[in-house]
Amino acid sequence: MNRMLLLIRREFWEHRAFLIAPAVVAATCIVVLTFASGELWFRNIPLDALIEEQFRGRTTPIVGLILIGFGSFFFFVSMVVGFFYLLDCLHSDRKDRSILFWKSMPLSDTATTLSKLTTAAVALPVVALGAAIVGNILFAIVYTTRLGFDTTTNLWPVVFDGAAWIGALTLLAWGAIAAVLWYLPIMGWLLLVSSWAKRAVMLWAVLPFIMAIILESLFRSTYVASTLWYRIVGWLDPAYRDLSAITSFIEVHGEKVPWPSSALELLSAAEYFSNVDLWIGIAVAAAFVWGAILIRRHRTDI
Amino acid sequence: MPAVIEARGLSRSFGQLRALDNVSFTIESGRILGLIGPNGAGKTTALRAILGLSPYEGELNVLGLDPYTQRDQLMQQVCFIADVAVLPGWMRVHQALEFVQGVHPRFRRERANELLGRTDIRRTSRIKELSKGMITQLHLAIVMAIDAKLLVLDEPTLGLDIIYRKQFYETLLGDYFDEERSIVITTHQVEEVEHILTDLMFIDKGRILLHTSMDQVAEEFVQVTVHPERLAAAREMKPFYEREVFGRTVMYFKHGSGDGARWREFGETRTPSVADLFVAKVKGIAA
Repeated sequence: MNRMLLLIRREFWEHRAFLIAPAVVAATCIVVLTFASGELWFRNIPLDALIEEQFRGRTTPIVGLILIGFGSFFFFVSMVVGFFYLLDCLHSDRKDRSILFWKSMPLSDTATTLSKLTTAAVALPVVALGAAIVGNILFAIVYTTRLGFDTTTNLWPVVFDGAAWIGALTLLAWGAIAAVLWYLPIMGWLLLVSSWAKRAVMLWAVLPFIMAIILESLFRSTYVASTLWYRIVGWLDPAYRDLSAITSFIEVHGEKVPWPSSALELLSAAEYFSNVDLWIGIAVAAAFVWGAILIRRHRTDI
Repeated sequence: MPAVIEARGLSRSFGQLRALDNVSFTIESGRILGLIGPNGAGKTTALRAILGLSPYEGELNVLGLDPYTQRDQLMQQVCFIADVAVLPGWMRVHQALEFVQGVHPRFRRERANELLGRTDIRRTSRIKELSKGMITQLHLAIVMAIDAKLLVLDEPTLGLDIIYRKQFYETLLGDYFDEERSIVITTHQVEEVEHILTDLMFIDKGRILLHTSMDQVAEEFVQVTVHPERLAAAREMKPFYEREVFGRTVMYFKHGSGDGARWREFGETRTPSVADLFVAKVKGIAA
């Protein structure tokens, strides 16, 4: 266990983007949202009246949705970082020959490879969740202070609404779990390519699919394309009870949709885990990761 | 002395090329073996097999383990520096120490600190910021702080200047080596390791040409700078190699039993250097 933690720390030492990327994103978002959107969105809108009349009784879902929206940005960034990380992680040490140092340590190739997978599948989402929490708190403080100049309403209890925060963070955390499990075969594929390719890892990872999509389009087929698309977005539907219900909170002028008494009502864990495509994906992922380990262990040309 | 490495019928082919051709040898503990051969002779292939980095045919036993299937266990007892500058450039010195401490049960941090204290290496530096010599010093400090039974060095001083090379071998011999350990070294700079070796193995085209102790070399081989008038007589004695040096003929003989004196009648005699003996063995007729 301590060993695995050290191996994961090692990945953080090497890839400083793990921490820098969310920090940069948070800083940029806060600056942009505060000075740009803050001006445009609420300009000429009587904020007091808006809060009193339009938002009355619905500030919790609105705040919750804003938290989710801003927070999910960190998960998106973490996905991009994770994509490039996985492609690189079993390749760069072969390129600079430092694999000869790693292999001189009493570490199995299985432990090494699994530490890379764990970094992408567990450590990065945890960092993203932490960044989402910290970012949201900073964002809320800055934004509330900023809007405070335009209204007589005390915005602090409205923004720091416990139900909204707990709900939003629960939905984000669940989304992270559901997405990671769904994306495991993609992660496994990237590890496999990273372990196998001598160069041009990106091309090897992506090109086969692009070629397949182009080829099948000649035969008026979209099977590969739709399978891929399903692997990217397919987790959303089974993971949440009613996606449209979540997004309809934004309809300030539309029909009034009550924020559920608990965010857990929006989750559909049972449906998600009984989805056979999830388990097929996990089985495929296991095969890819196993392949990556075998190649790492048996290849001799480094 | 128990055997550290035992190889029986060790072979490895790359297509048509026999990189290792049915090689058998035993290396005992407490020895420093120089593995010497031209490029492509099979040195690296042999080392890779010993270190569990590549598969092989035949039997190979390193410290009682099968290196290929038990590499991670083997690495608790075996250290290697394969090639210079394989430490990851992005890593900081203190991170490297922390990492090895965390994964290697036989690593002693204080020992590494002590060795690093003699160098100008700063703990906060990234490895890529260090000079080649410093990287080697760091790697050596890490390796020497590990209480291993076998140390394998594959061209450890390639690209280093002569001062570092001297220092490298001095530290190795003075501070590290003892009866419990064994060291296997490959290098092109044979002259520099000659005086620290206890054993010698010549390898060419995947075969072992010679495997003997340094003491045996003096007893087994003689180099004679032959007087011109004794050339024909000397050839009668069947040298396994001869060459011209500054217009004089130098011949290499394998001793009979305890008859060192008789060569003096042909010219000046001396024990051949490892480099000369190697050339003689590779280029000469089988002796």
